[in-house]
Amino acid sequence: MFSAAIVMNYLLASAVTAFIGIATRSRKLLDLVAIAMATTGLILSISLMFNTINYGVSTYMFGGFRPPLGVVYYADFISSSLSLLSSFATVVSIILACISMDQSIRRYFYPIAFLLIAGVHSFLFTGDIFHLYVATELVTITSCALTAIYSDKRNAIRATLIYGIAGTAITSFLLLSVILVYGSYGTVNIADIALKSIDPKAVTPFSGGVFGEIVSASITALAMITWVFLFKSGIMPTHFWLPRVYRSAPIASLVLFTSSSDILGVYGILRIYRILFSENSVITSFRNTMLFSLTAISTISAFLSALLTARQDRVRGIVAYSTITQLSLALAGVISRDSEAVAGGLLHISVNALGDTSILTGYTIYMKNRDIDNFSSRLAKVLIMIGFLNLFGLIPIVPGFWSKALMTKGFLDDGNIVGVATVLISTGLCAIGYFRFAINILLREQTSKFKVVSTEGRYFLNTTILLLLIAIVLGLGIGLTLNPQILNIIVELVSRSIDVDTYIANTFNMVNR
Amino acid sequence: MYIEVEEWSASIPVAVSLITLGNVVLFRVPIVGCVLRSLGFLSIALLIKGLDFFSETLLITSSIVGIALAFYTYAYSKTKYGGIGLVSLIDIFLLSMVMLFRAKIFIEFITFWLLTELIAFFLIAYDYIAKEDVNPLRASIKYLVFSMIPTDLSLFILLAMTGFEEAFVTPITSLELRITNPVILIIVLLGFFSKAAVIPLHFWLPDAHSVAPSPASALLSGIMVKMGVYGLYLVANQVIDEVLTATTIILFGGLTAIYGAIQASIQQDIKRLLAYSTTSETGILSIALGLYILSKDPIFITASALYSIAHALYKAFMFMDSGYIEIAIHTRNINELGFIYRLSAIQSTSVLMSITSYLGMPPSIGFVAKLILFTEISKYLSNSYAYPAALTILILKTIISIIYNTVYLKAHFGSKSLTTSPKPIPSREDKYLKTSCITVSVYSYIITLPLVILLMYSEPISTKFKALDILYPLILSLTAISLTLYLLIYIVIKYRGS
Repeated sequence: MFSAAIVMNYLLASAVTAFIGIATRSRKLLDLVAIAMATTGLILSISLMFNTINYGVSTYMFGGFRPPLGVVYYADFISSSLSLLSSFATVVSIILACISMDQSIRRYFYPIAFLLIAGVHSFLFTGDIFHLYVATELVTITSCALTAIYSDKRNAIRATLIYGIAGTAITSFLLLSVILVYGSYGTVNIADIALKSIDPKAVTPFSGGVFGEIVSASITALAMITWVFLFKSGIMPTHFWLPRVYRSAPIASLVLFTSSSDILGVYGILRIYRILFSENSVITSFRNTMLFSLTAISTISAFLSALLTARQDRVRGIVAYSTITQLSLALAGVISRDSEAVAGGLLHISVNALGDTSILTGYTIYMKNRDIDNFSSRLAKVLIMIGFLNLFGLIPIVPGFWSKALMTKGFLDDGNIVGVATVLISTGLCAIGYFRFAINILLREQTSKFKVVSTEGRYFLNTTILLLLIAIVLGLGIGLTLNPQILNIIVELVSRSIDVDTYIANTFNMVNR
Repeated sequence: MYIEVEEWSASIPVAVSLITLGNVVLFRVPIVGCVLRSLGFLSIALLIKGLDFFSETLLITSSIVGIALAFYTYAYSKTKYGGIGLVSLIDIFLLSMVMLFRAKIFIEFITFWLLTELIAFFLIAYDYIAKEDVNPLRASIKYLVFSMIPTDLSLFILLAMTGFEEAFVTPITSLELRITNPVILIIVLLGFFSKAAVIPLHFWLPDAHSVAPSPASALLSGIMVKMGVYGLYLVANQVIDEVLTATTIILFGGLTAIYGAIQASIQQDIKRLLAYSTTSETGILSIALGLYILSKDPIFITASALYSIAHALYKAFMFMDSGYIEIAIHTRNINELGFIYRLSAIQSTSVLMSITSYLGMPPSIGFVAKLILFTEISKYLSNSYAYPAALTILILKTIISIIYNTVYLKAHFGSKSLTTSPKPIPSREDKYLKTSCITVSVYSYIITLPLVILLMYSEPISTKFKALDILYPLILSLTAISLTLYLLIYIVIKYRGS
């Protein structure tokens, strides 16, 4: 129920902010409504999170329609925690837009941002692969719009065109995969497909048995879907769009990308390999080959992008290539056989999102306040440092330490020494870029070449968002340090979420109720 | 072996408060600030307790170096950079290392290790931050890649092996990790090798230690490299393949000892000379540790701990001296120096004291350390080829160390004369710099007696090393004689210099 409410909230927010933007010229009303709707989404996500921790899963049939026509929403610990992350990023992004964007741009930004987040949540919760395709398209289109929201910027338009054309082309493979799967399995419901991919003779109450030859269709679909999701998360070699987008999109959009749309690829791969075509499916051998290839891809991607991160001088470049590195590491974690590595990979997605959000937010506020030397500018410096420390994962009071530790333990238990080395060496290489930037921007005296922009009116918002982010990052890190039992709980909840039998049983129980 | 005494619960808050207060007061009343900071570092030795003899000696060493640096760093920072920003960073760095050496559980150990590494990165890059010199930034990046990353790899592997929960509850001394996979064991060893600058991950150290500000180099070289040896010591106490571990450590330690010493002998830059000598010394410390793993005789750990103190005091002083020369003469090239004794007789006397102490002049701490190490290796000579090999390396290294120390002495007692008038150092700062230097030199003699008394009451060294009973009555008189001798030397140098 909460899952549907979250999506509906964001869709409603998109419509309401679009209406207010057209109907009135009141800047305050528009900002207030946007912040209120984003906060509502966050509260709903928190409620969903508690719900899934207490009751395991939360399932819902849209409009009460049963599959195969109706869409099932399935929220477990993994999807609800990523939903929480996206909702939090939405609040930060909306506040950043208030701080840094003109009124004329905000009128467009809010509706599109809410639409993007609605798409992201649909992707996270859906139990239907056609709906998954629709959500992917929605996310791609809105991401393009958010990148090119300053339509007079040539670089932004170029980045949008590259992302848009490549994104649309590659997403069509997802549609093709859906057609193939539907043609052979006779259903688009994920639990239904998962069951039939394990037992082709299974007959389900709402779609019957399989329609055709499922092995070839599954192999083709798996191969195509894998590339689509690698592209969505910007894993090398399908990363070419990501640095361009990160260099030209507004900061408020980047916060959304790094915490919501870009994580979908890794999340999608987790769902496809753990649920849709699980370990015991009819294509086990091909699946294992693909997993081996993905391990190699994620390792190479992590190293190469870490080397590129080390060479970057500008914050956007650092965040872009660092995101590729961290998501590659997260991918290596989620495709591991060990559930601790999977939990570590998922935690690492949140770590990357929080780190990037901290750096981007801190940097935006610092650049606007650097000649004023007030509390905000000093706080912004602290936040940037915390962001870098979190991404490097150097000390236990930041969550980045624990995601690395979990992945290291998982890889070690799995006997994957290369994985251990990849995690630690690539984050270390990234640190060259992080610390060089930190020294250049934060520790050495900076003199502005620009006019001093007074931010008096936004002082409260600046300070609030900075303190909030510092509290969240350090709170999470210190919480994990003081109570390492939380890690065991996370691993346990993740293990349950990636169990295909539990997924199938929960979905079927809900449909049959 | 180690006499366990309960640590006073307020010992850390007392030390931290004194040092913090000292830093605050330093802006207004420098002398009070420096005294408070010295008291803070003194309280570390008096109040904070280590896990065992090794960690206790490292704590005492940190405390002594901290006391000496309290005045020195202020004067150095003020003279070289015109401000005192460096002081707080140095204090935090040293405090972080102290917390690491007293860490009771593994998560505490790993936290302060990583924090220390991070601060070291910024200390190495300090001249880039303050003066936009690019070389320190390059050196710090080299340090990050070849020292921080490999060590992090080791630490995270060990942390993962504890299964997290054990890292939070089990005392470090009770950890029994099974590092049985040879690949993992080698990775862990390499990680700590990189911190101790042992071959093959030694090459970051000469750059990093020579470009850092002198007080930072004193700590990096004097204390921080011991972290690597301390890490190896912790690994030595886990369930490991002892022959493989000992062979690896002795082999690479031996190579490092000889290579570092040879490199030090051919350097012209005084700080690079000292940096290479550090790699050589950590090689010797590693060998002692390797012999401990092989023989399971804790006396090698005692020897290693005493050697650590001797080296830390020597290296802290030498870097402080090189900093003094740099500030006063603006060069570090030995060929352009040779007249320091004319400039400051007390500084040149201190150099002599420190070098002779380190080379093993009785009754210095260097003498006791070498005596125990040589004697104990000799006892085991027939047990394995490792012992004669270690003894040979030790002798060779000692001979070469005489060479590079003589080269260093050329900076003070060379034939060059003072051609240009040096930049005058403000009198208060000059006084602080010289007082700090002479303090460290004197320490390397007067610390011997309390340490020998401590050893006499510690098992098993008191029973295994009977020579202590003979040494003990001699040390007091020898200390008095040697200090009087140096006073005479000072008078002669002063006379000749003027």
